[in-house]
Order: sequence, then C-alpha cells, then structure tokens
Amino acid sequence: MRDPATTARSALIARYLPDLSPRQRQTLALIARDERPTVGTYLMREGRPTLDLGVIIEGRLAVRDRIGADDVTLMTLDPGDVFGWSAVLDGISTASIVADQGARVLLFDGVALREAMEADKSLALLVCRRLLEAVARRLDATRMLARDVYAFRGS
Amino acid sequence: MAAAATAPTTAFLPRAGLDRLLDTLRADGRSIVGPTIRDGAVVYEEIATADALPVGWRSDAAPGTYRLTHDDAARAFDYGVPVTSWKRYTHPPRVPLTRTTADGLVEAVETAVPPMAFIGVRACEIAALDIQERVLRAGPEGDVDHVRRRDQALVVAVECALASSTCFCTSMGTGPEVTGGADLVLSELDAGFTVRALSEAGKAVLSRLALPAASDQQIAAAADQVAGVRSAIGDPVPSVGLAERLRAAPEHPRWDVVAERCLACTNCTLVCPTCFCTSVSVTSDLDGITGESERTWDSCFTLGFGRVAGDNNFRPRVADRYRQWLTHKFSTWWDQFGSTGCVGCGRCITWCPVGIDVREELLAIAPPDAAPAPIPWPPAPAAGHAPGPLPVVEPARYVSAEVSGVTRETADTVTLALSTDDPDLLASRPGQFVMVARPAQAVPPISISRIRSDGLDLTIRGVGPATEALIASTPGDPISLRGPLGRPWPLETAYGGDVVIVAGGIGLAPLRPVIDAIFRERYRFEAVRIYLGARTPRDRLFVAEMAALGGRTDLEIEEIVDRGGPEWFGRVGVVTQLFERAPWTGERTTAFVCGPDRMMQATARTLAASGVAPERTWLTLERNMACGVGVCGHCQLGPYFVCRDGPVFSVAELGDTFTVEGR
Repeated sequence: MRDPATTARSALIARYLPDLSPRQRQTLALIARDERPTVGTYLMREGRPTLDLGVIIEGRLAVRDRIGADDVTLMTLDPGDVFGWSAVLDGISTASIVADQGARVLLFDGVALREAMEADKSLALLVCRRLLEAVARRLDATRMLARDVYAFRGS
Repeated sequence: MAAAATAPTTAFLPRAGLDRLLDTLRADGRSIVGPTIRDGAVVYEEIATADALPVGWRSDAAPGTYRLTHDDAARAFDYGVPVTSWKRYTHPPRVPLTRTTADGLVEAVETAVPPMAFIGVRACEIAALDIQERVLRAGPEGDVDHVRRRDQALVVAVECALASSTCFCTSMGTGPEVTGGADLVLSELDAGFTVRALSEAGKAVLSRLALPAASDQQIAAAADQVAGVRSAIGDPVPSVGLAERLRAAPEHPRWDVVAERCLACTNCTLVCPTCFCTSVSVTSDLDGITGESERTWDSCFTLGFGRVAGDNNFRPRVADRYRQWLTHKFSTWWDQFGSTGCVGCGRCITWCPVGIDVREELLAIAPPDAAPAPIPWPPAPAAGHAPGPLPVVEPARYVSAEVSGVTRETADTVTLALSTDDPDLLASRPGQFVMVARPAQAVPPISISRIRSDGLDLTIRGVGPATEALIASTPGDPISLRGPLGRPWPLETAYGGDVVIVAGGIGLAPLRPVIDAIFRERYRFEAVRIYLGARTPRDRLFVAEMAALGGRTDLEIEEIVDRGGPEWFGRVGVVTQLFERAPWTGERTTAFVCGPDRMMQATARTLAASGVAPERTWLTLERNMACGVGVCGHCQLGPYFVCRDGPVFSVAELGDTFTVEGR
C-alpha cells in the first residue's frame, strides 16, 4: 500500500521520466525525498562526495564554484534541470549547488539509486539517457559561454 | 553600347587603314584604349596610333606562366587575352567617393568620366562586360560611376584567331565567336580585317569609314579561323549542372588541398574581368576633422575581407576563402545575378603564381559524373518577405542628421538620438540599418534601435576607431547617414500569432523597434515573450525600459547573464536556458532573434525543438557590410549579400550556410 507522499513523488517522477513503468516510478519514489530547501542551503558542496541525484521541481538553484575567496555563481538551474549526476558514479561534486528562490527539489539517494539501476538495466538506461541529455545541454551552454569569451568580442 | 542593328554588314578594312579606324573613333571625342606591350606583357592602355598595338607579338600562356614571343607576322591581335581586363576602365581600381563639407558633413564626389572606345575586346571579355552590367547596373542600386563609364564606351571587338592553353570560353558559353554586345566586330586576317557593325553606333562608324564590302572568301576565312579556335579549346569544363554540383560539395576535401597551394595573393581576383569586390578607405587630413573616402578594388582572398567589428572573421582560413571564391564564381553568382561569374578567359590560371588551374579544381570538386546532392541552401530568397518596395538609395547619397541626445547604456555602448527630417529615414522599418559617416572616419553600418517621428536612435558599441568616434558624439554634432538599408523584420507575418523575441547583448538594439512596433499594435499579436541575454548585468541594454516592460501583464520577459556577480540576483547562464523547457509550444509562434552567430544558432535549435518553424524563425546577421547595397561583395553569404538580401533572414532561407564555419 503506497502512502500519499510516495504517490505524489511518483507523479513528479513521471513528469520528468515519462517512459518509466509504474513499477520503476515506484522504485524511484521510494528512494526519493521531496524537499524545499531555504535560500542559501547547500545541497551539494564542491569537493565533497555527491550523495544525491536531484531534479528541480520549482524555483531555482545556483551552481557555484570557489574562485579565489568567493563562491561564484556559474549558472542557475530551473525547474526540470538535473543536478548531482556524480551520485550515479559514486563521485565527487565538482561544484556546489545552493538553493535560491523558492526551490523545491526531488533528491534520489545515490547509493539506493545505483543499486536500483544495477538491478533494473532498463531503469538504468532511462536514467542514464535523461542524465546524458542534461549533460549535453549543460555542455552546450558551457561551449556557448566559452565561445562568447574567445570568439565574439565584437557582438 | 547603342541599340543593336538588325542586319549587320560586313566590310573589309585593309591593315593600313587601322589608323583611320582609330581616328574615326577619336573624332567623337573618345580616347582609345587598346592592347599594347608594357613590362613584358600585353595590357590595355590608352593608345595614340595603331603602332602601339602589339603587332607581331604572341603570348604563350599556361598555368602560372606567361611569355611573349615576336615574329615577323603583321597581325596585331594574336596575343590571347592581356593581363589587364576592361574592368580597369569600367570599374576602376580607385574611385573617389566622398569628401567633407564645410559644415562638417559628408557629401558624394562626382568624377568626370571621359568617353572611351575599347578596341580589341574578345568575346569572353564582352561577356565579362555584360556580367558587370548585371552586377553594377542592374542591381537594386546602380553604380553611378560604372554606368557613366559604360554608357559612353564604344566596343570594338576582335574575334580570336588563336587559342591559349588556358582558354575555356567554350565551356562557359562566352566565345570565341562574337555574336553581340559589341558595336563593331573585327576578324583579323593577314591582309586586314573583316568588320561587322552590331549597333547603330557601329554602323555610323562603318559608314564614315566608307569601306568596301568584304569578299565571300574573306568572310569564310574569318569564320574558319574562329571555328578553329573553338575546336582547339574543346570543352575542358562541362558546365551543365556545374553550379548545382559545386554547391553540393561544400565539405569536399579538395578545398583543403588547394588551400595548401593557394597563396591568397589575390592575383586571380585582380586579373579577373568580373570580380567586382571593393573596399572603402578613408583618408584623414592632419586636422583629423576633414577627409576623403575612395573605393578601391579588394579581394575575397584577403584575410581582412571577412573581418567585422571586434576583430571577428567569418572566413579565417584560406580554404574558406578559396571555396567562397570558386563557389561564388561558378554557382551562387547564378542566384545573385542570373549568370555565371566566370567567362573562361583563363587569366586566373595564367597569373596564379603557383599555377592553380581552376579547371582542374572544378573537375576534382564537382566532376561531371558526380551524383547530384541536396542543395544545402534554398536557390533564392523566399518571396514576400518585404511587404512593400524599399526606398532606393544611391550608394554615396548621404543626408544630414544632428545628434539631439546621448544616452550611455553601458561602459562601451551609447545610444545616439538623431534628429532628421529626411522622409526616407523617417520611413525606416524595424530591422533596417544605416551607414553612419563622420568626417575622416570609416563608415560603419549601424542598426536602427528606435524609429521616432522626428528621427532615429542608433545604439552603438565602441569596438574600433569609427564607432569610438561615434559614441563620443555630443548633442549638436552633425552626422551623415545613408539609408535606410536592408530588409526589415517581417512583423506582419506574426499577426494573429505568438511572438518570441530573443536578444543577446547588443542584439537587443535592432530588436527594440520590433518591441516598439508590437506594443503600438498590441492587438495584432497573441502572447509576446521576450528573452534577453547579456554578458554581465552591467552589459544589459535599455535597463529601465526593459524593467518597465516587466511590469506589463500582456507579455513575459525574462533575462539571464553569462556572469552574475554579487549584485545580481537573477538567472546565470545562456539565453536558451530561458526557454528550452518553456511550457509554450511554437506552432503559432514567430521568433525574432539577434545576437552573436553562435547564440543565434543555439537559439534556432532550441526554438525548433519547441516547434517554431524555421520559416518563422527570423535572424539578423552581422557581416562586413561595407557598401550597404550589395555591390562591394564583403557581406556575401552563400547565395546572398547580407546587406542587400538581409540582414534579416529566416532560418529556412539560410539553410546550413548559417551553421557551418567559414561560409
């Protein structure tokens, strides 16, 4: 018997991973947390192990990097954006993720997610495809920024 | 050339009578330009008598080589084609354009053009003169200097009696027979010349010469002679389908191979009788206030030809430039002018210092047996873009305006409010641009950032001496403007649907008139969404205006910056992030986009993913728009001249010319 919170999380997951089967959604819903971090909350810290994979439901997050003495916002993330993909690799966060205005996020426990993906290769494929889309989009944005720096001084 | 006669007559001019012909031509006040020997080569120059002609000289031309040899023959026109072409006289290397007036404005300079008679014009060169007419007279803006020169020139053709190894007029369909385009046609035989008149002016000359009729044998000998030339040349570059095959090969590896040999020395374009590209140089007096400008020949092979403000270059590699030149000559010229751009004279082969043979390159890149491939861009601009005729502006016609206000937008960008009563300027439309002249400065193209009832706003970023001088203007300063130029944004195509406006950096300037126009007639549009990107918060334009728009309930406006900083609480990233997961769908959306090319490419992709059709995604392009009317060649992009055919294009019109580096 599913509790209402799990059902709600399952519905949210369906929004971002519509190809999952009901059973796969249930699997992810059980390892997910629906959180509303206050402004300034660090969801991940640069250089620390990435514990969760996250999806933004509402509001905005900031990707921050330590440059000199300052935490500089490299990018802001909006609803639908994925963050913390190092959790799938049992990796280290390469940047910090900080809650901004009105943030609501779904966080998937990294260990449990990796176990679920090991157990269900079709789930793993769908999650990895979704992550690759997110990474590709982020790389595109980074490339645009780099070109802005190196190529288009006149525009 | 005067109107063609219906029935040319054929006379015979004895060799000794050649000076009579020249005297007759000169009697009308014409100077005579013809072939003569200088620096070991045949060139076209003003000549006084027939003695100056290259009598007894023959040229041996091959890829990268040219030698003159002399024998005892009496013939004067057995030398192939000279180094120089007639464009030296119909489109001279230097033409004065403007000078500074006493009140600090810029005005056009008119040069006196003497009437000329061209003697010794080959069939391929007549074709070149015809191509020049298509480019320099028949375009939307006639080149005044060229038109005057050409209208006063009398053309005396001489059919070829010998072929050079570099000739390929037969493949280009331009020779060796002279069938039109001349006033008189001579065919040289040992004893003299058969002479035909092809125009009323030619007939008049022939009548004054009172020559006897040519004999049937002489006429037959002349015909046999030119038939022999045709046979000797053969058909080295089969031209049927060549344009399509060439434009289907933009990624052929041969471009890189030929680029390794090409020195980008520009010889080919300078000797070419049809290459017409020019640049404008400005010479300042020591006072730095007054100056003159002149137009000079330029070449698409120079590194600077594709360079724009901020030191960006659209064709940085020699391979890009060679592809541009060859593809233009043999393919996209058809789109622009309805003809080939090559007449097969072979000068580019002979005078290439490393002997690149354009015929070999064409056969390698676009062989006759190549399977036709999809054309990567549409064959012609989409019809119906501009809803009405655009104002016609002479290339050097400037009108005066006065700076009535200066608003600093960012550290390097200023908006100048200009007052003018010029009706054409006041009738400017969103998306158009003007050429902006200050004495002793280069003349940059500037997008109009607001159209007012009493003038225009120009938002200018200082990226070089000319724009720095402009943004240093103060109220009361005079400024000379030429325009409005270019195709406007097709706002009317968005009536009844949704509108998305995406701006990157100073790209908001040409979009501001779109926003103005939309809100003047807001009822015509459904949802309006504006997405703005900038490098930093301090690089945002029209901040107060955009903030005021944010207060309206009948639009959505969002902004993002590449780099935020502690004072910025908005989004950070690239502009496509603002709408890549937007809830709206694009089926009924028309998009207007301006920013750096890469930003526009990413925006077009993201909009397409949202369902906005490429036919309804409109961009405005930055290129080196030096003349503003499509006759200097700088802004060529595939089949288009950006200044003339754009700067506003749909993504569908541009095809992959927009997404591939070096186009």
